[in-house]
Amino acid sequence: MSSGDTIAPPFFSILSALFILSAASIFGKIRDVIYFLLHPFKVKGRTGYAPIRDPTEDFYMRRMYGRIVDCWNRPICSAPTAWVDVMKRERARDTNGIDIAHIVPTGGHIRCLNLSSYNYLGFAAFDPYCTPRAVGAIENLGISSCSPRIHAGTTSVHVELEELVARFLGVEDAITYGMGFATNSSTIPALVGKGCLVISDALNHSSIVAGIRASSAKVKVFRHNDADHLEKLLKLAIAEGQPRSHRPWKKILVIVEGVYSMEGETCRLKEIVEVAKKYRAYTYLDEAHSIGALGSTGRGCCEHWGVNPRDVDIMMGTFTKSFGSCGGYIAGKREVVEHLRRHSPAHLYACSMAPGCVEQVTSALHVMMGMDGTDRGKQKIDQLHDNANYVRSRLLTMGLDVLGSWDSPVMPIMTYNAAKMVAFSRLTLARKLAMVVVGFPATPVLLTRTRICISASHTREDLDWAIEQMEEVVDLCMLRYRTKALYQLVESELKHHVKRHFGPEHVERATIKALATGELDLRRLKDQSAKAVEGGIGVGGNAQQQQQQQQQQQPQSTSAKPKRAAANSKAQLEGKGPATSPRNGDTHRKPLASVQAHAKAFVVSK
Amino acid sequence: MSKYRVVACLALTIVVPLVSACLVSSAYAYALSDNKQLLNFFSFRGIADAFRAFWDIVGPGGKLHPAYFLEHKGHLIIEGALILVIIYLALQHSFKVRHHAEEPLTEKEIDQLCKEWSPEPLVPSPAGVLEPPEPHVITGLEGPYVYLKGRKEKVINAASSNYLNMANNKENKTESIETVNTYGVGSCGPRGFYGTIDKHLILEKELAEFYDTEAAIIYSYDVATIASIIPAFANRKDIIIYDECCSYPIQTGCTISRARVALFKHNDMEDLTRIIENFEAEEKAKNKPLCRKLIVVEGIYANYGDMAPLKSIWEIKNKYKYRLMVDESHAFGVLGTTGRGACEHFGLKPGQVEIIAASMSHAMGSVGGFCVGDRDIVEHQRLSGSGYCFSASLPPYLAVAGSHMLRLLRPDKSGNSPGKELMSLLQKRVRSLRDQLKGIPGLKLFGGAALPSPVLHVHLAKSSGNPVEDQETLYKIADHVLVNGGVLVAVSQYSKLDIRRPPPSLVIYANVALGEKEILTVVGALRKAVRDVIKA
Repeated sequence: MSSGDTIAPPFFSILSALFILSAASIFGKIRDVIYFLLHPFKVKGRTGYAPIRDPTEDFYMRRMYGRIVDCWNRPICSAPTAWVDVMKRERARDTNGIDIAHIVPTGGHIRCLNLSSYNYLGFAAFDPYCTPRAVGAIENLGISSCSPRIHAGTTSVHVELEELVARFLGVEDAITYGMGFATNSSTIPALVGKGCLVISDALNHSSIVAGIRASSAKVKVFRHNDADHLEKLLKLAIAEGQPRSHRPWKKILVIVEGVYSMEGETCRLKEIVEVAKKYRAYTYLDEAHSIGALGSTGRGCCEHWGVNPRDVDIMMGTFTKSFGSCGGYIAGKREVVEHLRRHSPAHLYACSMAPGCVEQVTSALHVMMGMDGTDRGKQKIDQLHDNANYVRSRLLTMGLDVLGSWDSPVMPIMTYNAAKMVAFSRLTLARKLAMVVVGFPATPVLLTRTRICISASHTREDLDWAIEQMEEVVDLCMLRYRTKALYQLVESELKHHVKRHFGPEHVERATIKALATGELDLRRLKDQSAKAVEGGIGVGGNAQQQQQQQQQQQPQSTSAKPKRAAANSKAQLEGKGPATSPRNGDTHRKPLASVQAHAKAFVVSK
Repeated sequence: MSKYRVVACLALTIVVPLVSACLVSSAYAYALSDNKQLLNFFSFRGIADAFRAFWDIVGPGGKLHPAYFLEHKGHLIIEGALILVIIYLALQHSFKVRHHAEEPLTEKEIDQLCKEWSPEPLVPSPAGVLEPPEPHVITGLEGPYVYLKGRKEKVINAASSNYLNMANNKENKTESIETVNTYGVGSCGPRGFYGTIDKHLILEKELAEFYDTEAAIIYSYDVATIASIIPAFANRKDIIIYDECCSYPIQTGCTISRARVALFKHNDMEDLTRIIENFEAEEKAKNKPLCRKLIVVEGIYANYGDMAPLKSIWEIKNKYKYRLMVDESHAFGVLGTTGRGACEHFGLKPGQVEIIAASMSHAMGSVGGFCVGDRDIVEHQRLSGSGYCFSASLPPYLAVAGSHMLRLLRPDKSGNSPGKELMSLLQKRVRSLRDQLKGIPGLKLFGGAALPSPVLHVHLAKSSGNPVEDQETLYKIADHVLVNGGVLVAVSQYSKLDIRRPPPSLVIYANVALGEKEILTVVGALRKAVRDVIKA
């Protein structure tokens, strides 16, 4: 069960949200009619050509989106780091809603706290280690290679990055592309085609959907993060074979994401990989948001759940988020990567990644792996987790409906009402907070939300100030829904998280309140457990055994950083016992899901 | 079926005792009302009495006899019921024969099937397929020369489409580096969510001014540009017609859109007209509502190096009211008096072609793509172009590099600009390169010497008939050219996903930095390589 299942907007919110939407559309229609009466002979568009948008979409864009167009696409004029300069804008023309609203910068900007960029590790702005290296690459290798990888687009930095990514992830080989979206949309068609089945999570990103569409594979969707449903689908798919012809599927690919960008939830990778392995389906893990952000050394979802990266057939990720650059990678077995080098269109036809971007990623990876000679990378990751867990606990104690998992830097706050969403966006900007709001059609109509993305470059003072500002806004928008089921679920997940990573002795103390007030300091616990393991290595044979087990599990991380790996090993071993496997731990929460599932079904079907 | 049986059994067990109880009790009541003595079921006479009493009610003349019922308006009910049945039957299309559904698989069978299923390997085994050589690794640049890993001397780079040498332009680099220092490298967010940086807005404005259109939009990658523009303008109901030689991004854009797609023969206007007329006739016959119709062509075909006859395509498009989309990737900054591309080259005015898209990674010397057009067209993409909405935006320094190139191309008051000189220089180089490449025995230059296109596809004059063999020969030639002549040329390579694989070719890109001296070297090296390889 995921935290998304437990939320259900209160009845009154549903009513008010639907009321607002219908009021907006009714007034829009009235205005359209009046416009028509005033200009009866005016014809829109050229005769003989079908309109670019269909009438409903056009109406939505002019009359609904046009009213709230200022909530999105806000331009900035600084690096997207902890504080950004958001440019002031205003509507350019008299917007009577006949044309699409036009909004332009007017000059001037406001300095806002950036709670929206995917700058998880704070590599977005000038970095004393990375930026000079990126600049050096631009100087040596030019701004762009103007050529695909197979011709003259492979430079020394590309080769270096691919080797480093493979080493960082603990897999055999990796291939890089110049854009994260294109990584998905061009790799999936190269892997699956006619006669293949893709089983995709319900909330997968649009790039995955584009990739599946571009391949001619059939697709089935399993309930978000639900390994049981995946198993059911897999069983049925294998038993029934292809539709109509009933031939067996050539291959089945299960596609999941590490952290879902609109839910902030981590994928239940362990169960999903188990199920996929059991039925011999291949797994494709999109770590766009989780690489660098999850796991004690930033190695993503696999490290977070203690899954061997070699059990995941294709590891995909992007460099846009944690690494502050652009592009994406595919990592996995050598033959898979070789196949992609031969057939992936983005490798053969697209211009290779710009050398400056490549070098930025390489140096960011150096920092994270400690190859720059400091422990800045570790500090960054610890800071990110600390920030994320702190803000999440504070928001939850404020009574907000916050989705997502612990350690995940993405936290959506449910507003349930499009009008509240817009009000929230405008009020927070007025209080110098740059925040993202998401509404229809990116989410169901009644599940509109606002989203915070935490960065390692935020200081505790920044975050405290932001929460203080938000307290006011939240009251103005009446967002304290206090959904009990969600709170309980998140608290039990916290206990689970603490048990897996810090040992069962801390479970008693692990409450959201304790985390919010600072009584429970996960960062200190982490350091303590790291120290404990470090001290124990030379003493007992038991500790050595642990170390060995760890080596078998993650050969790469151990060779790169023995100390950190040791810390890791403890966390992993604690999570390994059968009683604490997340799947077993879930059983007692099941009944709740069924009750709330109805509520969700009702909401989603709207 | 068993379900119905159960229901029927239940109904019977309830109805039969009920009816018999009714009958018995009515007979009993009748007997009582006649003041006869109580019925005695235990004696023969008693049973006979009871039967008689029963027959009095149910037999002819009795109140429960059907005739009594019919005589007392009961026939109306039966007639009514029959009429209802007739109406019901009349409303049915036909009598359907019900197929018996197959028994669903049992759990055990499913498990067995799952056990038996063996998937294909994730990727096919590479054995037996021609192994393309490892790409050469570039370690440094010096003008038109590059340093390769494992080679001491610099080699001429004829494999980059860096037409105006913008990627290595010194001022351009300085500007980009300044931007990296202030803005960092990445933008860390999609355009909608604080990923719009002022540098993007500047580039968009400059692009719109340069093309004299209302608006422009930039994408962060070249292959994703047209592949997300096409689905924004077409869906299941719509029509897309494109040239059969269009490159992969256009093909995949059409696939993703799920529109009705038709291909016309390469640069064949009659075929295009025929296909359009077929569609028109079909529309008319089925009386379909007006749908969005799109013709997609490339200004300079990336896989062939020749040009689309845009003037005649525009005339056809205008006649049949189709929208025209031109991929100007290789033509932008190369063709036309101001560098607007093939549309300008063919004398089309701004706004006549509805959608112009191009890659920023050729003449612009950056990475990414853009689209220019009316505000309606551009704003629509901002919500519907999936590569725009759902992808992180372009790193700001790459946008700055694009702006720099546009500034160079912008004419001053007298109509001259540094970019214009560059373009005429490029044309000179293209002519010289094409002239000399044409004459190499054993090779055939696609499109001939007169084309102004800087993309040169050189095929084998005598194809062996087997593309794999040709490809191997070309790899050998390219290798020979590099090792003995010091020139890096590209050999085209196509994915298995391409619906049409053009014949294997050597690809050479003209570049303003490749002077006459270098061109002579390139041609000389090729001549020698062909002689050596094809003879050997």
